[in-house]
This record gives sequence, C-alpha cells and structure tokens, in this order.
Amino acid sequence: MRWIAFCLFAFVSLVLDVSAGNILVLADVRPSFVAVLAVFIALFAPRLSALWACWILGLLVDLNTWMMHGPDRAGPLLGAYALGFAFGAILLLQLRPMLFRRRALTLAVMTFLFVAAAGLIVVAIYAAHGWYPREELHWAQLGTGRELLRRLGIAAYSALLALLLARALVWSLPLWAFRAPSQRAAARR
Amino acid sequence: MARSSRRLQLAFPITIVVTLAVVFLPADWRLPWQRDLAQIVQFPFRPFYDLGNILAARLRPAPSLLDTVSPDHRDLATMIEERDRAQRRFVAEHQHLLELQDQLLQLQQIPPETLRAVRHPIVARITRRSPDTSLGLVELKLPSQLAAAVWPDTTAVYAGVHLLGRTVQQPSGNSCLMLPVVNRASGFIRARVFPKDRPLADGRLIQVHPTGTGAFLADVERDVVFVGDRVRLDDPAWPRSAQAMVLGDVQSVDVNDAEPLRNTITVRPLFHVSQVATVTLLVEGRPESAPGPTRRGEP
Repeated sequence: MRWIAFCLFAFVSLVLDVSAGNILVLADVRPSFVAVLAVFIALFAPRLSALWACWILGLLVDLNTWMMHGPDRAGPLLGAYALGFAFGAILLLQLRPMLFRRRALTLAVMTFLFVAAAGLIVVAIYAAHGWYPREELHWAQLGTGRELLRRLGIAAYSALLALLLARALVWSLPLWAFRAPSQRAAARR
Repeated sequence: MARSSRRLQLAFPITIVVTLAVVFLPADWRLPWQRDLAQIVQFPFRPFYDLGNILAARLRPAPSLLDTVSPDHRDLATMIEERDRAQRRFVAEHQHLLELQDQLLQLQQIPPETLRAVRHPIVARITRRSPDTSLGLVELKLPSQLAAAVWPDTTAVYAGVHLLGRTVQQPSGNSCLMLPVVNRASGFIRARVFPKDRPLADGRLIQVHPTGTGAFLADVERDVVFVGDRVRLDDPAWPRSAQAMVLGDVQSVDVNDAEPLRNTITVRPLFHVSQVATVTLLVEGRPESAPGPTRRGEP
C-alpha cells in the first residue's frame, strides 16, 4: 500500500469530518468520511496494512474528539476510536474473501457494519469510564441505549455516503498500489 | 527479512494492548499529555479546518432573522432585532434591579456602576467541531491581540441575545474551547420563562436541563407556561454578561405522567451551534491589550 496516498486521503477525510461535513448534520447524526475511507482500505489493502491504517484513522478521530471530563476539564480520550476502528477492520477482514469488493453496495453495507461495530466498542469504552470514581466523562448526550441508536443512524448515513463515494474511491485504486507488483502478476495468473 | 516481517506482525497486537492500557487510564493520568499530543497533531490541520468551516458557511449560510420574514418586509427583521435587544436589556436590568434590592436588604449598598461589568465583544470563528456529535465541544479561533483577554466561562452568544455556550479552559495560543449550552455537560440551568404576549413581565423561575437532542426540558406547574413563551437565563452560576440571554422558546408543553399536576416543557433554542460559523464572546472587563473605547470625535 502506498502510504503517501493514505496520508493524503486521511487528511482530506478528517478535514471534511471536522469542518465542512457539518453541513450534512441531521438531528445530531452525520456521516463519517473517515469511516468510509477506513472501510475502503480494509476491503483492498493487505491485512496488516489495513489494520494499521484503520488504527491510525481511529486515533486521528480520537485526537479530534474532545469531551468534558468534569466541570472544567476538557480533553480527548485516546484509544476509543482507535480500538473501535481496529475491531471494525478485523471484522471486515474476516468477511472480505466472500465479497465483491468493487461494488458500491458492498462498500455501503460494509460501512454500515464497520461504523456500527466501531460505535459499539466506543460506547462500551466511554460507558466503562462512567464507573470511574471522580471522573465525569460527558460523552453520551442521550443515555447509552439512545446513544447506540444514534450511532446506528450514523452508520446508516455513512453507508449512504459510501454509496455516493464508492465510484470515486474505486477509480482511485491505482493511486493506492494495494498489491505489490509480484502479487499483481500472481493475481493475473 | 523474515525476522523483520515477523516483528512487524508482532507490533500490531502489542500496539493494541498498549492502546487498551492507555484507554482505561484514569483522567488525571492521561489528560495532560493527551491534550498536548492532540494540540501538536492538530497543528498542521488547523488552517484546513478553518478553510473547511468557511466553505461550509458558504454552502449553508448561518440562519438569520431575515429568514423568518417575507422578502417584502425586510425592514421588519432589523426592527425585530432591535426589539429583541431592547427586551433583553430591559429584562437584564430588571433582574439586576431585583438583585440589588436583595443586596440592599442585606445592607450592601454597592453602586450599580461598579457592579456592571464592562463588556468587550470578540467575534470568534468556529474552526473545529467534534467529529463525534454536533453538540460536542467546538474550537474557536480568537483574534491574536485579544486571545489573552478570554478566560474560562466567557459567554458565547449569537445574534446579540441568543446564548450559545461558554468557554472552558484557558485559551491555548489563539484558540479556545466552547461548550455548547445544549451539551449535557452544562448541567442544570436556572432560567426565567416570560409569557409570549408579555415579554417584559416578571417571569417565572424554572430549572432547565439539556436533553442531549439540542433542546432543554423543565418541569413546571400546570397552565402557567405555554407554547411560544420565551426562556431567558437567570442563573448566578453564569457570568453577568450571560444573564437574560435567550435560551430558546417553549416548543411543547406536555403533562408530566409521573406528576399529573405538573407539566414538562421542551425549550428549543432558536440558533444551534452547528448552524453558525461565528460566535460573539462577551468578555467581561476590558482586555489590557485591546484598544480602549473612544468617544466620538476623539482620536
């Protein structure tokens, strides 16, 4: 995998998530460009590269997700999205051999699964912090059950976004060089 | 070659274990270094976040009072704004008066001039929003010469009288964090609800709390609050500049099933932080580095 392409795509998708993506907000639900990119990489990249890429993307989301940790303490909680995205990637890597990866619908359905699975891990980690003494992590605006529902909404919205972006992402495949030349020759054979 | 490949394969599980250990650290042990790390990593992204938000503001312009009136009556929007400002000022002064009366009762004759803080408004652009939720903390970009004047708990408003939130933590460099008032971390807020047809009446004291959906809930006695009534802040825990700012309008009044003699009201803010590109920070007291107010005709 060409890591320069990864850096470029990660940069653009993160900027979109943190700024311009705000115009897509519907009732506190918005799609995740970063998640769509993570799913695309998990579908095409070699196993280890896919895992690292998803972990890095999750970490970037963590670094930009600041929360209140008490009445006057704000900061990120590093690791929640990194683990969530890594878990999502592991899930996708198990399903990958059974999929038609270039289909837009595949990317959309896998995005839904990925975001839902990652959301489950993130919510579990945030909820676990609720049990810590002297730690008031304000993460869920709605309570755990409704927060999970909201994340299902994000998963569905991200899947819709994936459906729209799939063509452009598949078109960008040569930029990524997901397979080494020897592997490409083997695949042709 | 095989050894280095095996090392690479081992590195990922080890990283996951380290991530697991870090994610479950208590806040005291992780917050200081994680905040610094986040700020270092965000540094190269900041100009692009800024550009992205400017682009978003162009694509979806922030709501304006002009949207609420027909194109033939655009002058009306200015009058509505002026009316809102005047009403806010009246209510603020009225609340101030009641406060002073209390103090008089306690033989504390403090002149109102010294109590009334000097306000210095700073227009700050939103540069970073939480990728997680639209109700999350947002980062504001402050004018460099005025950044030092902003401190935690500075009030953030939109359209002059609509409360959007407050700053948290000391600004770092030219940026500071703002907690939207509709975020659940804002907790319970004391407010006053004013009848729609009598906006300058005494108002009824209520306690609202954010619902997590961009609105507030409050329990009130039956048949005293109606749809369309205006809710303004009246909470001594908030800065003076925030008092009497508009929290929102009563959107619905429902019977409280647990207590049939009481109603539950939903208060919906007119402006949401996800809709706006800039906010106005009301800094109390004139910042040292800021140019002082000059009278007309003075150089």
